[in-house]
Amino acid sequence: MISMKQSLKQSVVERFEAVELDADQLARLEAQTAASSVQRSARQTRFAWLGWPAATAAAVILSIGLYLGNHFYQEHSANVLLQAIAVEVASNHLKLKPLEVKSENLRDVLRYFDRLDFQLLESTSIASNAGDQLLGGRYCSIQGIDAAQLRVASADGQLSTWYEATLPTEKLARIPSLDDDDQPAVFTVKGLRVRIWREHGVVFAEARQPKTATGS
Amino acid sequence: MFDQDTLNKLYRYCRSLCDQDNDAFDLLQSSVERCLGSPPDNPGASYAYAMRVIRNKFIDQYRRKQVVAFEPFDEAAHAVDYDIASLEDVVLDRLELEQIWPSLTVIEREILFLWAVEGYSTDEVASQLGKPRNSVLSIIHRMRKRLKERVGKSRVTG
Repeated sequence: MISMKQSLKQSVVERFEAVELDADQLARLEAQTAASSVQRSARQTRFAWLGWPAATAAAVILSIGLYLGNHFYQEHSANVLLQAIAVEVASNHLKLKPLEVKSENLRDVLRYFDRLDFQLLESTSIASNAGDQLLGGRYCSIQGIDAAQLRVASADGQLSTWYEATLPTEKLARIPSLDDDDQPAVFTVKGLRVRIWREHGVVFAEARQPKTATGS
Repeated sequence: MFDQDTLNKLYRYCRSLCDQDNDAFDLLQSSVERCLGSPPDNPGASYAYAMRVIRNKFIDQYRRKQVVAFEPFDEAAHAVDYDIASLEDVVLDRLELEQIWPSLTVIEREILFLWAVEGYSTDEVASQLGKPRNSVLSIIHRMRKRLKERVGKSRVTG
């Protein structure tokens, strides 16, 4: 080792210049690098065909999953709401509370409901059978909101009740709409057949005894 | 990714951190493996990336082994306002450096390597070490003082 005064920097540089990997160490590192390149290349080759198609397929599967999840959730929420309305309607029907307006004339009965904040309509889905007789109506509530209840007696003496109400937009959207060619939701609750639908933004419901084999 | 020249340069950096040849080679080997497994986004920055990987691996290993004490440093007590270039005026021969080298701390050796071999500025050293500039200057200040004292002693005893 040459003993000659020089700057610290130069001494440090010389010290490290003397440090080198030996042939064996270099060979091991180069083998390591080569092996990694081969592995990486093989990995890329193996999965290259996946590339964008795989990503697209994953995105499609995820989208379908989200769509179905949302769809089933919406369907479930709608069913829960419709069932709740069906139970409410059936209960109102069975209570047979006194009529507040009695008239066979539909227009007179509808005119009575002036406290409602929506326009009562004549539904296209309520087909009046021969011999049906309007008895009158009364206020009731559906989902905590004021509604109109109309009572009808058939020729054989069976009573049915019709309801008209409105609901907040978010709930309204879950009711089958005849305007969109949906079919009314039908439930059998408390021994009654209940149909629920909406027309022109108004919710309709009908509760009546189901038809039996004897025709009663 | 790394040619022979680069591997040797990286090995020298490992040697600035590790006293033993074997430790330095192990550190280099594990760092190269890491670099190959997770290459940098910018291939042009492979060398700087490898330097950082080496440093992080070294800290991890030695922190785990608790071999090196990374003692807290009181910056306020060692506040200085000069640059790494102040080391330029230290004059010694290779033999003196070899005698002094084992007494240097890991971080002092690393600073000397980065400054002398890699040509780093104070800010670049601070960046590589992940330390504030003032901390680096304080370490340099202490090291310079000790080097001068040791060189003076060796001259007297020599």
